[in-house]
Amino acid sequence: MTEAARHGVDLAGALDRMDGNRRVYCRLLASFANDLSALPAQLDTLLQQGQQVDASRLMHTIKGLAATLGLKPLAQVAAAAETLLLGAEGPGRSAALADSVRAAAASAAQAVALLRDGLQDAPGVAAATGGMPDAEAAGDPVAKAAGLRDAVRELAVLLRSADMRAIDVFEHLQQAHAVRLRTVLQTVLQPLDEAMAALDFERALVHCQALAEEVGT
Amino acid sequence: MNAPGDDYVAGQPGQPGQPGQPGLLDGPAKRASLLLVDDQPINIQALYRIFSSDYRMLMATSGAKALELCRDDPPDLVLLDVVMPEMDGHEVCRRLKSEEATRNIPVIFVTAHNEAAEETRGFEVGAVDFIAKPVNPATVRARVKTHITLKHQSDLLRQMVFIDGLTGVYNRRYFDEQLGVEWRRALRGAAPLALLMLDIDHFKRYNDRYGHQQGDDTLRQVARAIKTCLLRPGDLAARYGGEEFACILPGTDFEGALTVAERIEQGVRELQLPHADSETAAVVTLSLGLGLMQSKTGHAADPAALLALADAQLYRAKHEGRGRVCGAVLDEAGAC
Repeated sequence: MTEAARHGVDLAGALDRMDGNRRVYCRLLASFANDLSALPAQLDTLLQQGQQVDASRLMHTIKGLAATLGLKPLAQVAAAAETLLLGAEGPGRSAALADSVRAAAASAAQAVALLRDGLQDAPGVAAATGGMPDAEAAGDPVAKAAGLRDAVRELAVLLRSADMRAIDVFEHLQQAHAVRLRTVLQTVLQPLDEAMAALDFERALVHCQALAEEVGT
Repeated sequence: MNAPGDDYVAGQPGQPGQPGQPGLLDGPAKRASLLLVDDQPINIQALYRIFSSDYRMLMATSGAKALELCRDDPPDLVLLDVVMPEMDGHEVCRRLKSEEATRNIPVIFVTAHNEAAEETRGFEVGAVDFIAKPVNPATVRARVKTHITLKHQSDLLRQMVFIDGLTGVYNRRYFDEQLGVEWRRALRGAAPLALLMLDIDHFKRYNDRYGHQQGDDTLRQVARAIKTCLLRPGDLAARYGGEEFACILPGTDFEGALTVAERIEQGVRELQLPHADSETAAVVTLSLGLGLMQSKTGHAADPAALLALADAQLYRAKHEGRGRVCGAVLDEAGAC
């Protein structure tokens, strides 16, 4: 964690924004790591095509995300780039600008990796992300199957109304029915998981309905 | 934390309290809802953690989706990102403010922009407040709570406009609005929607014999009896006009709605209000028409078709001798 602090990470501020939820913070960092790896190429392409406004917007988005996740140095570089790109000197300085963004993104990626390693070991994260003891091993299988059907039905209702509680219900569903989902339904679960992570609830609903058929609702 | 949404009920259409009684809040409480709009899922996820225990949280990752949600199931507040592809936050806000159904929803911009001109632009398109990214959880909680409270109070005032002065149930105007809202909600939730039309039998003769003051009193008693028979929080009773009433019963199937209708018919009979000039009974009675929309065929029809169906069934009940219930299900053609 101290390593991450050396990268200028405001861990306390970021966790405060996630209501202290380290698991959620970890998940968002993982998602942002993907954005970061695509960032240099994205920026280069926009600059080569002379799309200053779009490049500035991209920097605006990165600025907001980095700041939310506590990655302050990247947020600052992105903020400077956002402003510069809209100015008259923007085009002439694009090479230097891309370099500084690339450097900041690389440093942020390192910080993210350190943070994720550090947080994985923290109490309350490991239990929920992996190595979950299977609660469903015990208990009545019939009641268990009914419980899964109910959960899938509830998930569909929440997805249809764009209710964010779908995220929590899905997470609980995955934990409570891990064995059944792992053995039988992985092919259905994977695309649902991806759609949920992207908050694409319309696509998630389609996969949720496929899951509903699998579990026999 | 004391959740601001705990005692909130009046903002959500379709979930009203008991209109016309001292406490408009005495219905079952419903959590206030917040709509988060941002093209970046990470931002939505972070804000969700700040509010998940206090409010019902809805989300949209595009301006177009946000507008659709606001029309279908209006939230009590929108937290709106400014920079988004296709339709930006300013345009979303402008459109919300230009439509009757959505203009009362307060909008707060959440943005990483930090220039004064940007804030001015936001207020010009109708925002009530501004919050800078990255958000300070304490600030964003406090501001949202303030605006939800204001919204709650103005909803209460607006709701007064929707109450029938004589009987204390909702008026025709509110009924017309809610029928559309509940219709769309039912289709979205793949749920049935039942509609009752109710008419006091031989009411003109009643007024002629007992006088209009007595007539008004009877209208009040009948309205109260109808309301008492509606048990679900989402059920709604309204005065449709004259001696006609209407009930909207969301998520109720045909059997269920028929049970409610018969309970109302019985309930009014048991008031034992003498009606010497009625051909139907010695007491005041109701005729009821039930129309039911099933979501699988509802897509082909509209609320007016359901209203026409319930009305036709009311006419049938009158024709078959009054003091009874007739009902039918809306078919695909929307015909009776």
